[in-house]
Order: sequence, then C-alpha cells, then structure tokens
Amino acid sequence: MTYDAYKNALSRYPIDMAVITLDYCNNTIGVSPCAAMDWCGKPGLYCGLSTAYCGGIQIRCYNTYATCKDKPHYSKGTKDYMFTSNNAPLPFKEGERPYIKDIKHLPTEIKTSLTVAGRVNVTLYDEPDTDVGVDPYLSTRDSVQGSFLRKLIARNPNYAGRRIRVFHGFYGLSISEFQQKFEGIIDTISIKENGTVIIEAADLLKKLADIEIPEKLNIKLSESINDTQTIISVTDASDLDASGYIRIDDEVIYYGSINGNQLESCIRGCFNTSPATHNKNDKVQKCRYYEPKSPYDILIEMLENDAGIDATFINKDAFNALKNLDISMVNFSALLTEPVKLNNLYFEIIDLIDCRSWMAEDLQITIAKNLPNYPCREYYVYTDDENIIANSDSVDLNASSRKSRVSIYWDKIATGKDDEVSSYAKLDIAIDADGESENMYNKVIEKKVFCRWLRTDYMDENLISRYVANLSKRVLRLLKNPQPIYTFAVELKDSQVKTGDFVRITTDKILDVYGAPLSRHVYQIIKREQKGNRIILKALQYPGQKICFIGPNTLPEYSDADEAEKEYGFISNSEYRMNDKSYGYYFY
Amino acid sequence: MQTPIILYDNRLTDGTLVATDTETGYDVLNLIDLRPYTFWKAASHGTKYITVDCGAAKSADCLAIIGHNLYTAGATVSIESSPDNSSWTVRLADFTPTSDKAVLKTFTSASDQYWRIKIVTAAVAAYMAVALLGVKIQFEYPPNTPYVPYAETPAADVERSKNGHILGVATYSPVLRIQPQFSLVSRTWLDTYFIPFWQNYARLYKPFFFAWDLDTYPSDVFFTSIDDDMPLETPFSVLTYVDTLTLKLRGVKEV
Repeated sequence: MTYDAYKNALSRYPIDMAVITLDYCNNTIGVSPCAAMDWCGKPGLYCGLSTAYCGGIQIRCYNTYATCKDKPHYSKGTKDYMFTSNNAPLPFKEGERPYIKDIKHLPTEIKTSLTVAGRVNVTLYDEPDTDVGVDPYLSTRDSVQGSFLRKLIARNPNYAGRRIRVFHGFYGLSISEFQQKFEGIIDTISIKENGTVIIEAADLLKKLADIEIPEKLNIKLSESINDTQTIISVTDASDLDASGYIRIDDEVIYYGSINGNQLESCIRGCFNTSPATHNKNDKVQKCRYYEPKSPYDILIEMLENDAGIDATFINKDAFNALKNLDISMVNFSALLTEPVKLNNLYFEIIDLIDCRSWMAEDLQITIAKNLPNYPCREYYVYTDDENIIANSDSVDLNASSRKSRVSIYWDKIATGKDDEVSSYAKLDIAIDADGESENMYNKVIEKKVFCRWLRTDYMDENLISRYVANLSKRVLRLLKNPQPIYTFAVELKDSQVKTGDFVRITTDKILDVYGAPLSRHVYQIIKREQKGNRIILKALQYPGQKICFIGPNTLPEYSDADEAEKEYGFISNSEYRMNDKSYGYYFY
Repeated sequence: MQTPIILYDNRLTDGTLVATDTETGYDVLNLIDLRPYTFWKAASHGTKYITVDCGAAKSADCLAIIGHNLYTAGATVSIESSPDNSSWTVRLADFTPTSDKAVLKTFTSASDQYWRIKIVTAAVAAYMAVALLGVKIQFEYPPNTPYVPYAETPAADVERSKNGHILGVATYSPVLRIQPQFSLVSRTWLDTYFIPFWQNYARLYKPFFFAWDLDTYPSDVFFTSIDDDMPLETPFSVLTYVDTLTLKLRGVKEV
C-alpha cells in the first residue's frame, strides 16, 4: 500500500519520524590522518607501553569535534540519528529508536507583510543507553553510563544550526515511503523536569531573520579625507567586495578597486549625496546595492545568495511564473547604507508586489499573488458534511485587518532613516471614501508603507508612478473590508491541502445575507497544523470581487459557465453584480 | 497443560557474545540490551552461531526470542552447549518459529561453559532484537480461574464529521495487561525463585518473558515488565504457603 492508500484507509497506525543530522568525524582515532595517540587505559594489555612512554591520550573521542583529540585533522562528516513514535509499532528495524513522545508543529503562518517561520518541537523520551552503534570505540571503554540523548548532547554541544527532518507515515510503509513534512535547522535543545528532551527547530525562512544586509564590519578611515579625494585609506578592506559602495557619514562613495587597504577609483557623492570631508577613524559602512531588476529576481537573489539557501528549497517555478504573468511590473532597486534584517527586506518586496511567500509543506519557499481567482487554479473543497470535524471550527471576524487608506512613501533619500516620512520624496495614497464615511465604519485607518525599492533615478518616472498608484489601490482592495479567518479541523484523509493553497468552504458557521451558508466561497489556507490525526486549518476569506482575466473564445455565457470557467472574466450588470447576485469582475 | 513460566535469566550476558557475522549497524550486543528495537542481524544467510563463553559451567533450560524474522526467513533454530568450545551437544533440537512474534522454548536442563544459538537460513539474513537463554522460573500451579490470558486496551483517535460520519481512525499500539493470581504458593518456591527474581530484576522494571501455558497456547508468549503499580504482597495465613500472589504485568501487543 502507498502512503495515500494508508492515509485514506479508515483505520491505520500513524507514525512520526524525526531524523537529526549531527557532525561526525570521518577519521578513526589514531589512524592517519588522525594523529591522536591512542592509549587504551590498560598499560601492557593494548600497546605494551605505559602512559609514561606512549604519551597518549587516556580517553578516546566520540568522533565529534567537541571530543576530538586531534582537532587539526578533524574531518567533518555527518551521522543521522533516527527516532520514531513511541506509541506505535517499530516501523523499520533499521536503527530507529522509538523515543518520540510528541511532535508539535508550530507551523508557518502567512500574515500581511510577514510570514511567521514554521517551527517544530520534537519531544523525545530519554533512557539509559549502552552506546552500542553510537560509540565507535565502545569495546575499549572501562564503563558505559548515561542516557542516550543527554550523552548525545554532551558529545555534540554544537548541535545548533544542524539539520533536522520530520517525516510522517504509517506502519507498513518502508522508510522511503514516509513523507517529509518539515526540513529545518535545530535551534535549541532543552532537558525537561520529567527527563524528556525537547528539540526546537525552525524552517529555512527563519534564516532570513538572522542575517543583516549589508553586514556590520569594523572598518574605519585610517586617514582623514577631503571632499575630492579618489583614493581612500581604511583600516581593513579585506571584507569589502572588489568594487562597490561605502557610506561615510551622509556620503555614499563608489570605489572601483581595492589595493591593500586602499579604495581606489572612487566616485564621490553618489545617489544624490554630497561629497564632504571626513576624519580619521570615522566609521566606514559597507553598502549593498541591489541593481534595478525584476523584484522576483531580487527575491531569489536574497534567498540564494544572501541567505545561502540551497536552490532545491526554492520553488523557482512559482517565482518565474509570476514574473511572466506580471507584465506591468517595474524593476526594483535599492541601496542599503545601514544593516537591515534580511527578512524585513524580503517581505517588503513581497508586500510591494501584492504577494505572499512562505515555506510550504513540500519544503520549498514559494510565492503567490493575492488573487481571489486565477484560471486553472485547483481548489480543495471542504464541507460540514464530509470534511469538517465536529466542534472543531470557529470564526475570527478579524476586524483589525481592515484599512481605509493605503499610503505608500517612496523615492527614498539614500542615507535617510527607513521609517521616517521625511526620508521619502514621494507619496501615493488610495482612500476608501465609502468605508471612511459615517454610513460605514466612520473611521480612518491607515496602512503606511515605506518603500525603499522604487526610485525615479533608474526608470521612467511615469511608469513607476503608475505602478505605485495601482499598487496602493490593489492593497486597499484586499484590506478595505475585514477578512474573516475560519479555523477548522479535518481528518488525515483530507490532509493533502498545504499552506497557501486556495480552498472552497461551505460551512454553517459563515452565512450570507440571506441566511444560507456562504457556499463554496474562496479562502486561502494561511496556517496548517497537524495534531495527531487532525489537521487544523486556518483559512483567510478572500473578497467576493474577482479579478478579470481574458478567457478563451470558447467561454459560455456566465449563467452557463462552471466554476473553472468563472475563474476568467465576465461582464456584470450595471450594479456591478452578476446574474447570480455575486460580485462582478475587476481589472487588476 | 503447563504451568506459567518466567524467563529473565540469561547466559548470553555471562561473557563476550560472538556472532558468526554481523551486518554493519546491527551489533550482536543489541541482543542482550533488552530493547526490542535494537537488533542483531547476520551479514548474510546461512548457518550462524551466537556463542558465549560463560567462564565456567552454567545451566540453561529455556530460550526466548522477540523481534525476529525467523519465521519469515524459514530459519531452523537450535541450542547447543559445550564444555570446551569444541565438542557440542544439541540441547534444544531444531525448530522453526510459527510466526515472527515472541517465541519461548524449554529443554532439559544442562550445564556447560559454552552455549550457542544456531540459526540456519536458506535465503534471508536472520535478525533478532532480544534473546534470553537461561534457567526459567516455573510456577508450581496454574493461575486461578477464570483466567484472562491478557487484556488488551485499544488506543485510537476516532474523528467524526459535523454531521456524524466517521472520517478516520488513527490507532496506536494497544497496551497489554496480564494479571494472573496464584493461590497457596509454597513458601519454599517463593523464597527460592520468585523473591530473587523480584529483588534483583522485576522491581527494576527490567523486561522478561512470560508464557502462561506453553503446551496449550504456545503462541501466548509475552515480553513484559511489571506494571507501574504492582506491589509485592505475600499474605500468609499458614506459614508454609502464601495465600495469594498476584502479578500485574504490562507489555505491548505485537502486530
């Protein structure tokens, strides 16, 4: 049987599996290239020499760096440690240890302007262990004591940042048929009061929060300079790029080459800053310049180059598909003169291109546009009758998500503060006047966007102005009414839906104005959490207004069109409604 | 009918355990760690011996194995002993387990310095998780009636839809409980066999094999330990007998 066959069976043994990958030396102690002297602790029995003569070590390593006796020859490899559910039959008999008490997924959550990185807490039982299969030099030890995990931690204190994978499967499946549900890096390990051990891990998007662009460097001017010098001496140029930008005080300077600690071929006063004199020991800040290019390409550059995330974890097809779709998109560019968290930069762009990005359950960082409909999009359908578990659903009307106007500040001064209005030369505002009126919400709620990515110096100003004006309206389109969040649980058989997928839901928890369940309405799954055999889904309701796509000439009349055909565009009546009373289509 | 048997004694821990060959990652020492999830596995099919030098002549009359593929592999298993690691005597004749679940076999008691398990497979490499070869404890009488061989508590999460349909069931390893009660256990038997077993082994929650009637129910072999709340209570009315001895054992149902 396959994973899906078990998943769809009425009764089955679910099993969790976690694999942690820790460093492990490729060498054998005392065998070249490892030069650690290998004394057995029993003079005369092993090598025939007493410690006084052999001068060797008294305790062998455990093939980890922390226990290494010859660090210069340490050869970093890896070793997997596999754990499976404690409350299920042993699935593979291939070295797995049934220590998993619980796996708590603190899943990624797609939020406006941000995605919360997914986290996993794996709680493991610990037990006294014989070191068989773990300690390569077990037969030479005088005694063996301690518990499996606590020994593992003691021998691998450098566990942070190491790889962890979480799989799900069923008893009866082979190890290769288990499905991977999480890939991340170990954050912390803690030992609890009851002796259990909790491994906390975060997904790869979390890496973005740990990186600053440009990096902080300890560089100073080694000599004062006047406002025209084109050769600049600094204390240490080794961490600077071969050419690029630096910032000193409020001046941005381009350097064309480096000679020792001298920056040569300098161009002073770049990006509309003013050349000035600077004093010895003034701070020199490395800058990062993102050249004008498609924002989709910049996002991939951030993930691959800045965060060092392997390309296999990036769904480039999704990024490229949007790049090809978004024909009205302008190029983005920014000069960063102070360190900024990479996740801030990444999600600034995501916001500015009306998208969301997250690490999905297929372990790829992906992206999607905030569109309520899209031709050929597939929807999972959930109903009270067939899918939604009894007493599991609730609705958050999410009133705080509503905004009545969107202000985008753009064309930033190169050395200005990121979050100060005065640092930006231009402003575009979209206002929902109806929403602000006393007949509706009677309140002004503003969403402020500070945009460092769009300037007028590298592209036709009209083109960029039009883009920003449209963007503010698009953002307001989503936010001008609250977007309710429907939380519900489904069984494993319905677990194929992933974070970011669009679904159609019919539930008696959400009614239309006529009192009937809002039927097959479109939601986006913004959080997906597995608890045992339950999948808890958080779904964000999309506005009823659809976007108009030009369809094939075989499209029937709206009244004869099926759901897939209605993903394109149709002409509404004079009240902007279709003949089934649904909202009409809008141009994006 | 045979009276209940407990096997906790193990010759295989009396000396260095040596296997004919071993698959990488499946150390032979895994056989004696009492963990049904760590395995010894032969490197190939064929005739394999697990041999131990006990250092001096020692007795055995019982073999028990759990976590194996001896049925699937069509293995024939036997026990041999030797005073000199050269001339071997068969103590338990060839048998093939009738399933891959726990198996317990008894044989006429013998004493020797060297003991070995012989496993012959034709095409598949054999593996085993736990093997005990030692002297059994056999109760004097059957348990009181009516006797429940084992009680199994199913564990599952059952999910129903808002309209009442069953959507799916996630099942977990059922807990298995065995609670035999014995009346009029002789004081001699208790002091000779059971109390040492309790003091040195059972109260440490170390697992052991239990078979309640090997003649009639040879497949009812369980790898158990005492339950968390089992006390040792030996009420006496007459000094030569214990009025009742109740075991509270807990294990996992093999699937």
